[in-house]
Amino acid sequence: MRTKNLKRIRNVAMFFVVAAVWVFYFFPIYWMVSSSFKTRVDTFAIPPKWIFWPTIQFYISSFTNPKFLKVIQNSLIITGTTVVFSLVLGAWAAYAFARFRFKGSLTLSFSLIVARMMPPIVFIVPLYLLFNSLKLRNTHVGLILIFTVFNLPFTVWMLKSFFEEVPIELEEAAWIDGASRLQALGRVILPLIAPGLAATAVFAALLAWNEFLFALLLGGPDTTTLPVFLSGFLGERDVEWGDIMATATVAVLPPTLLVMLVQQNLIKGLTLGAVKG
Amino acid sequence: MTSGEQHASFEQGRITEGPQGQIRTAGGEQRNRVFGLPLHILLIAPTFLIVFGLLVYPLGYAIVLSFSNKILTGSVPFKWVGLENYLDLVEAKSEMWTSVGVTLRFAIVGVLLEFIIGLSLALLLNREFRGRTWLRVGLLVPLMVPPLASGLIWRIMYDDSFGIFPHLVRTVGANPPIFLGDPDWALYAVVATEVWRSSPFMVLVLLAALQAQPVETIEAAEVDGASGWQVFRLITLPFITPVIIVALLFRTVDALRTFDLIFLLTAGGPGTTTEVISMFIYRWGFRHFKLGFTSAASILLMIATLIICIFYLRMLVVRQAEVQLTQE
Repeated sequence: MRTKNLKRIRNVAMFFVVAAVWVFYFFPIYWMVSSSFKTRVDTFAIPPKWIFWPTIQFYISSFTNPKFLKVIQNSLIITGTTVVFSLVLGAWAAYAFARFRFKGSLTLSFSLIVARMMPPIVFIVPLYLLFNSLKLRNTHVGLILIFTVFNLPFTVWMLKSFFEEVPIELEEAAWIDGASRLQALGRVILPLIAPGLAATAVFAALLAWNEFLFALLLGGPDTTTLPVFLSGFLGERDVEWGDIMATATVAVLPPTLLVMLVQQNLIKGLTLGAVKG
Repeated sequence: MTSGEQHASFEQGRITEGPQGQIRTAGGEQRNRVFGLPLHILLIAPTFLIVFGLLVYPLGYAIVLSFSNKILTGSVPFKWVGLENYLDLVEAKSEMWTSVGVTLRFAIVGVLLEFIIGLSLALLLNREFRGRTWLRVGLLVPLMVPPLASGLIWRIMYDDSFGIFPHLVRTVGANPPIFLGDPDWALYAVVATEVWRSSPFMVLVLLAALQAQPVETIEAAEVDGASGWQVFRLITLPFITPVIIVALLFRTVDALRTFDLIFLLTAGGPGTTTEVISMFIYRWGFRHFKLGFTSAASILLMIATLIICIFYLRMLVVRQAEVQLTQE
């Protein structure tokens, strides 16, 4: 009888702990989404309103705003191209590091980790001057290049860990059948690590989609991405929170959906392949 | 193809380490060359070309600039100033030290809280209970939110007129501080946002480590009469220590690079009470346009980051050596 009670108390305690954790992590998201459906009056209501009549006026005004559509287009083009470049270049380098031992291979691969650890702000002044003199500021190409560079350390290390999991014998079998190294890579290895490639792509996309510092300082009016657009709201005289929260919700949606798809390789992605999930 | 030939070509592609660590591919030169060039060089060339062009070269440029008085716009003639920028930065009354203090408080309080929350939740999620899967999924959400958007969300919640936090404080009868505008509160309000955003990383990474632990060792210890705490301290903790070090390394360097969140929440204010080092560099570079001075600060930040990395990596190496010793 007593043990039964004890168990019940433990269950109830557990319930409250789990509920508290949920509230802590989920409430801000809920608040963002609900604020995007509140009218101006409801947003500024004191005390804050829990129950309100939802409005989609801010989504309508966002999606009919040509500026906003251009921003989405910029974000999609820049993120998409960055992902392709980082994956292709990253896969080549990762394959070389995984399958060849050559002079300096360790130094080179570890120098990429050092690059990953550096705060991006360290590079901002020289890059700003460099981009100015090369006329790369305020161009899609410029942002794609810089996002790719900051993605590469991560894609190389993550893909390297996936390549290393493929037994070399599979490749050797393809060589026996007359395939060259690159043919074997393309037709045998890459299909095998497809889930890994997908996970790497998602993380590369996340980095490019969310990047702010370079997009702000090396970009310009022609390349405004979603984060830069979002930050611009606050400079306005009359801050329209409904607009901001609707835009933020739109910005959060694609990464959330993508990451749900690659949950299996999530931990690897978070730690450059250092920790397996 | 006869089996003999098969065997030969099987040997061809295999890479063996040569005497000086060079590749020796018994007769397989053909396979490892494209257009007469070694394949591995061709494969890594594009990556390192753009890494060189856009990271290494700018870094060298920053070092050169740091010895000059370069400003972005204005009429001050360019000249070399030697170590002047560095001396200005490290002198006792320099604003950099305020910023270093803020950065350290931000990083240490933040990473420590993230670690405590991360380890507790990882241990919780490592047990069986109803709703466990859902809790794991819920944890993913803050990780997906762009730092910038999370700044906006928390800003609306902190807002001193219509925000939910001041309201909650009022409901319990207290007088709420102006969270983001009070010098005593602003930094911790920012830390809370950062903990919300980043502690899931700790939870998920530590949980992965816990789940990799072989069940047999724990069961064996329990059979030997070890208490739950003893199992944790003597078996689980040593097992996950390397992962803890890696996670702390990642979180620490990320805390050092924090920019978006602070840019959005407080822009470094009130005064300079939340001006972390990235904001400090941003302000001198892009508000005062003193590029030489800013470059010097960047170089110092780079050196500090390197030292922190080396510190953690040494911990990892020492730890590995200890494990090897105990195994022998």
